[in-house]
Amino acid sequence: MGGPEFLLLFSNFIILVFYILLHIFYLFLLVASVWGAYVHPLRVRLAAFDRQAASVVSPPVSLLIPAYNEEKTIVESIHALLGLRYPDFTVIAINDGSTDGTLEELMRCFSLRRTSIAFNPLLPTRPLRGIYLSTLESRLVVIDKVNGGKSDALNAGINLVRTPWICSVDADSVLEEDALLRVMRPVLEDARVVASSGIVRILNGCSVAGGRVTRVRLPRPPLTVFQIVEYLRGFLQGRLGWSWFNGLTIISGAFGAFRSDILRAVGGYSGQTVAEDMEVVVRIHRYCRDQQMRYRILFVPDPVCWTEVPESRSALSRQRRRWQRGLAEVLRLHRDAFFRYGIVGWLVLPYFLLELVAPVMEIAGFICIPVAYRMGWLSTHYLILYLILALLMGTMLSLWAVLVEEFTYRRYTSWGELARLIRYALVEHFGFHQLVLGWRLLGLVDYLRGRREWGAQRRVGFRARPVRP
Amino acid sequence: MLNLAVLLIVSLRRFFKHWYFISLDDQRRRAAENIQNSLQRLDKGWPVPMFSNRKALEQELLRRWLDAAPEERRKLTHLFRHWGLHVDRLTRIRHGPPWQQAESAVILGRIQVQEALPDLRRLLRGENRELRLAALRALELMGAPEAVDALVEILPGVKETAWRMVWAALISCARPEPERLLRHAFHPEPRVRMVIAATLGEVGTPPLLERLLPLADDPDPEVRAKAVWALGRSGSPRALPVLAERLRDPVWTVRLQSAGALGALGDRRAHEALALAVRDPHFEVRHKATGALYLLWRDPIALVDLLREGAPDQFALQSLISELEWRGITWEAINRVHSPLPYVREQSRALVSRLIWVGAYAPVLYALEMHPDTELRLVLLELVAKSLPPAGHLDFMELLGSPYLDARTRHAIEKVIGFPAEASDGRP
Repeated sequence: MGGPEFLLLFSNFIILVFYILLHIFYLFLLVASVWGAYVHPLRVRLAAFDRQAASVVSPPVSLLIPAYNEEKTIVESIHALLGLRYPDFTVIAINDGSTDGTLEELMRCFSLRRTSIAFNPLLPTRPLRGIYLSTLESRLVVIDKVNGGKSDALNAGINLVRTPWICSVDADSVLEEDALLRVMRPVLEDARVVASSGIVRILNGCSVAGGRVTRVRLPRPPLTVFQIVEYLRGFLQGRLGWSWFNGLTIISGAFGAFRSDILRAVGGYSGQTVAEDMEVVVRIHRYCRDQQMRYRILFVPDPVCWTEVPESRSALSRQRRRWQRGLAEVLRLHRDAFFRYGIVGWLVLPYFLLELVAPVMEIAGFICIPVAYRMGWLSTHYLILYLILALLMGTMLSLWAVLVEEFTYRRYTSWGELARLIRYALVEHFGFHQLVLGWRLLGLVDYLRGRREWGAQRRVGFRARPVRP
Repeated sequence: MLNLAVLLIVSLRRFFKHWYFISLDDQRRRAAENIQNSLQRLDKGWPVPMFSNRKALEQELLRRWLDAAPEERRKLTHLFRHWGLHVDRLTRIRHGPPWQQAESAVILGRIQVQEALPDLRRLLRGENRELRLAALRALELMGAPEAVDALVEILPGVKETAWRMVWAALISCARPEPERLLRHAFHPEPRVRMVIAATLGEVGTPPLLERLLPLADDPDPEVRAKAVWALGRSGSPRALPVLAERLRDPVWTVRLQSAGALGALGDRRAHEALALAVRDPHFEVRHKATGALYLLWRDPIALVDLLREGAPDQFALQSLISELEWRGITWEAINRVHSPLPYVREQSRALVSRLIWVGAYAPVLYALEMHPDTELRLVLLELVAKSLPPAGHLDFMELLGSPYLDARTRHAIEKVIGFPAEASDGRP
């Protein structure tokens, strides 16, 4: 066996081991999530949300809504948040040094007045320019501050919070009317819960009126439908599965509730990474285990937060590169947590390490294995095994995610939408997945080159969204 | 092939479910008609159901029950029992599989079927957590005082993490007879004492709450915190020294609750203790104490005078200003400086002047910039001229750069702060 042949075969062996490990994780999550998806709707059927909505035992919540250049959506978002069903909550909007008319729009619509409210600056943030209260809505507080990024804005909000629970919400997201009730249900049922998150679904294609989703439809652009399949897989398999084992390490920044004392104790959100939502959860795991607390971090699939996803290839590429960079940053920041801290250090972080190197391994596989086969160095059996692991298993997982959705929550009701979802789940691994791998690889390169910024995002605004009949 | 098979299975499932739902909708429609007719003919006696699908009848009754007013709920409950639907559910809670037991428990709780109480107690004591949660929910919905002891019984279990749900159920069950809780108030388990104190705080009468006084000295800080909170709701003068003592508790959450309780108690003899608590090392306690001071006096002018006299207490002043702004009192006063009612006008002007004097003029600056009433802005400027400390001139000078100021206000500001009028020429 010559040198190049040995090298190629050895790399193929590594790739095969990588795929086997990754799919062991996937199958493990699949089994847990199928069980979770079976049990959860039964639990929800037993809940008495009407009672919870008027209960004095429901802990007060502060909704933090950081906003940077969100003038098109912020007012409608806040109106929608103020209309949520929950007995006791406050909305704290943080204008993170927007350069558009976000603050002016808020002042105009909510008749804000500047105040000199005292607060406890426990978490360091960029300077505040003002705190405003609304003359129309007593549950609204607006913070205006110098731009410091999302984590800095959230920390400024946390400093002002006086409630035992905090819920972060993105300004461009739409919560369902009972989303807060549903995300807080596990808190009532289990005193160990320190954080709880809901599912994020894709708003593109849906009809929105008055800050509420009035009709759920699949969007037309294929790129967005592929993302729906990805989101279903990510939430209904990944997060539900990890949550079942108390190993959830991502609570989406778009919608997640935390105990405020814990969030303060871990030092709030970190500005050292663009994946601050993942980083803070890993830190909470570490803190709770260091303190020897009995704790739970949960994902609940019924509270829904609808959010816009990129529709253009360039925007999606930027988003995926940022996510990959964020993942690398979080793993670097918490490298000392590997093989410590129970399931988090022994299973979750190694799994994310595999996810981190996945673009390199998978792209290498797409190149090396066909070359080796062409040169006659690989048997057909090996090639078939590789194709099953690389393509068919992924397709099967996507298909399962669509099926879990169909059998449980069933938001896409028409026959045509179901057929489209299944079709996209079947073809996702033949083109789209490879495209995403390429972007993730670029994300790794960005990380290695030390790139830090978030990248600009364009907002369309809910009102601009055509309401289809 | 696998994918095609999956597609086929999903399609078949949808197809059958589609027809099933159509048939279910039809059954529900007929059940709804039946219920409506029955409700309309109640004066002629309770009718028998004219419809055989009991599941559809039950679902429709429960759906209507959720949206109904209390009187209609009573009728629907009666109908539920009259048609014997509760018997089906009682059978299922006793002999059904676990999920049916849980579902039946919640439904029986909603419909207030007292016969289910022994079964709910059994579920509470059982090993299955889901069933325990369902029983707790059922008891919360039912509000049966007889269940209080069973609820207290499950609290000490170290694995029982649903104490909030037990609390909710206790509030509902103990509301008609809160004295049932008292015998558990000194339970050896701290968690029980805490939940009992919290529940009594919600549902207890003042004489009952007074009997919680010894719990304010409990060794467990959570129990102390809940007990002082409950004592604040008692209105009893005997609680005053105990609560004042707890303002020196080593645990800040107890001090916080104690400050809030003294405010709720409303006894002005608490002033001295609260005036000390506004210098508490913990921020939240300081705030709560200032809020409590405000609740005692309900006179912000006197309170500002009190805090600025002698050696001004900056901590307390800052907290008070913040509290007044949270409560909207400052803004209300600003809006009333131009009131036609002489007393309101003078009081508002007195408060605004004092706030300007102590440096809390941020709302005044904002009103000068944004308030639509020019006359009001000029009155505010008169107050600024009288009360503004020299250190505040710079902030008012910065206001001149605002594009929102009209010429009259700008000129008045320049006069007040002694800014040369020529300098404002050409400004936006």
